Amino acid sequence: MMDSQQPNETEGLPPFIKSWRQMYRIVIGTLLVLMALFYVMMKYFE
Amino acid sequence: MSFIDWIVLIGTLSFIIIYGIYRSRGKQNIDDYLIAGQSLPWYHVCFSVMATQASAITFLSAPGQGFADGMRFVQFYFGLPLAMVVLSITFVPIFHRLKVFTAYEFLETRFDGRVRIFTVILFLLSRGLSTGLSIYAPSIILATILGWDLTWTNILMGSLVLIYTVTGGTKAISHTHLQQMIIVTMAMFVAGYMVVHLLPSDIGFVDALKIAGKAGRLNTIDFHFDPNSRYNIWSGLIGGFFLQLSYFGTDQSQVGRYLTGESIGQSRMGLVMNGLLKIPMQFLILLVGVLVFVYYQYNPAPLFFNKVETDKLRNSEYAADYQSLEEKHSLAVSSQRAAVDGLAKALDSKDETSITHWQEALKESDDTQKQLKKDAVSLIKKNNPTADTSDVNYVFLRFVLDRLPIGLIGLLIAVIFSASMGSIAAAYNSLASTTVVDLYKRIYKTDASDNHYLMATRISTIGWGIFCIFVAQYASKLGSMIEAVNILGSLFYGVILGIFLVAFYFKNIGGKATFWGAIVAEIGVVLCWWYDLMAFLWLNVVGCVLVIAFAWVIQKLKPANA
Repeated sequence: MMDSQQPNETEGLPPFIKSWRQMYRIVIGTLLVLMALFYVMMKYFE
Repeated sequence: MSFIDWIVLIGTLSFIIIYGIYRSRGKQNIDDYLIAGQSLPWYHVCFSVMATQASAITFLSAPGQGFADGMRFVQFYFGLPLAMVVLSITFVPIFHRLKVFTAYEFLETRFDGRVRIFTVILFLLSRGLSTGLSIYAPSIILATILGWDLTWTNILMGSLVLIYTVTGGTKAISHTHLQQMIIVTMAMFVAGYMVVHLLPSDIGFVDALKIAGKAGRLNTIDFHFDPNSRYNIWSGLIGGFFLQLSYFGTDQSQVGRYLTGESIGQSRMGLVMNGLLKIPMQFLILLVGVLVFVYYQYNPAPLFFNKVETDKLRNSEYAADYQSLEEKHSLAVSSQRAAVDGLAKALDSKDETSITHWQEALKESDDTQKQLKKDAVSLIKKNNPTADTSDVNYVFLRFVLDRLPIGLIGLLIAVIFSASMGSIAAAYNSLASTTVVDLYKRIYKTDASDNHYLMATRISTIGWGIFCIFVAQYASKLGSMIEAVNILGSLFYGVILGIFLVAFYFKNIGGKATFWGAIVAEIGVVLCWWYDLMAFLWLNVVGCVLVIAFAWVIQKLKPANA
């Protein structure tokens, strides 16, 4: 899969995020962090 | 409901409707009406997408699920952020650049008219029927528990949105979605706070979580792969990914939301923010249900939350049997209270032996109550075979009506209406735009004026509204057909996703191969369902894979003609 936009296109992104690739990494990273937090919470209160 | 609750309910709903009409005032053309002139910022896209997905059942059923089954349902959404990334990379730029009104226009650009019309018919069939059920499902619960007339509740639920959907189109829908999401989020936070507030004074939020954890209700992650288990991390990541990709990528009720973004970047940002916010939001809704569970550890819960059915049972030939179950339930509730008090003290003193002892006692009481509930359901079914026995849908609303203060009850009923209006408005809009753009304009009236199509879309919106309310009215008489209509969605969704995936990722496969591949795949899916070869959720995956496989084979066999 290729990103069909130009690599330097940053329209729509918050100023502290440099590219869409970085944004997607943040989304996937957040998913992993959430799953880890849920797991820790489950184990802590189990 | 009290007079104040009625004022809050009517005031909230009136505000949403008037606000929708106000924000979409002025002259509109077809662009404005169908895709809000592609003028909206990312946060409108994000909240519109979220409000479309969150139906009334989300706020009725999910807390009940948290109460009965714990947090594990949250795993169902794990595939969503991944689907948002794929959509942002692939679907959004293509739809924007082609300047389409509907997702299905793209199929004609990529293949031919036949594939487009075939997909449109599949979509209209499944979305039209499922929107009827989206009206019926919350209506039956509200009508049952509040004693309202079901016919009028259906009409009210299905027609309120028509006021601003017909006049204001997509712009009105997007603006009201934002208001609806703000109201819904605030109300759920207040409800969560109120549950904790109603707990005994020595039990705080963290104590409540400890009790919920010991009772097995904080079961957020399940690593075990079991195809028969509906919610585990694998079904959430893999099955959820396919389901969300299919829903957001090929269902016009969602595509129409993110096409309103003023640029590719704004649409993308709306979707990825949905990917970031959806799981925490669902987590909080489930957590409210778990806190309601803790509340009922300290306060007697009814044996069955749907009071209308239990009242019928008390006046039936099974009254004595039900009374016997209620007596056993009272005993189980007493032992539950002793267990939860013992557990709270043991947790305070950190006495592990005592914690284990009371945890087992609590589990035993929980299992006894679950069994008694099953026995009650059997009696209810014997007494009334058409009774609604899915108790989870009634847990939260019963709690709201019995325990929350005046004013907040009206607000939470307004939340249920708001959530319902959000998803129904998007569905009406998508059905009307697809009917006009992909059928009426494509086949019947190809060169009419902008105003003509605008009027046709408004009339089509009203027509679909009447159709969906009609389906809702007859849903109660369909009985087991409700499940059949759910299966109907699974029969079509996978095939539609397969067609779009061929369009995006298999550039060498042509229109003819895809059309016949989709027809054969649809027959295959129907046969799988007919011979009961698998649970119906898997039909989505099978439909998708079969379209790709058959289209590929046909293309290989007849490359010149395909």
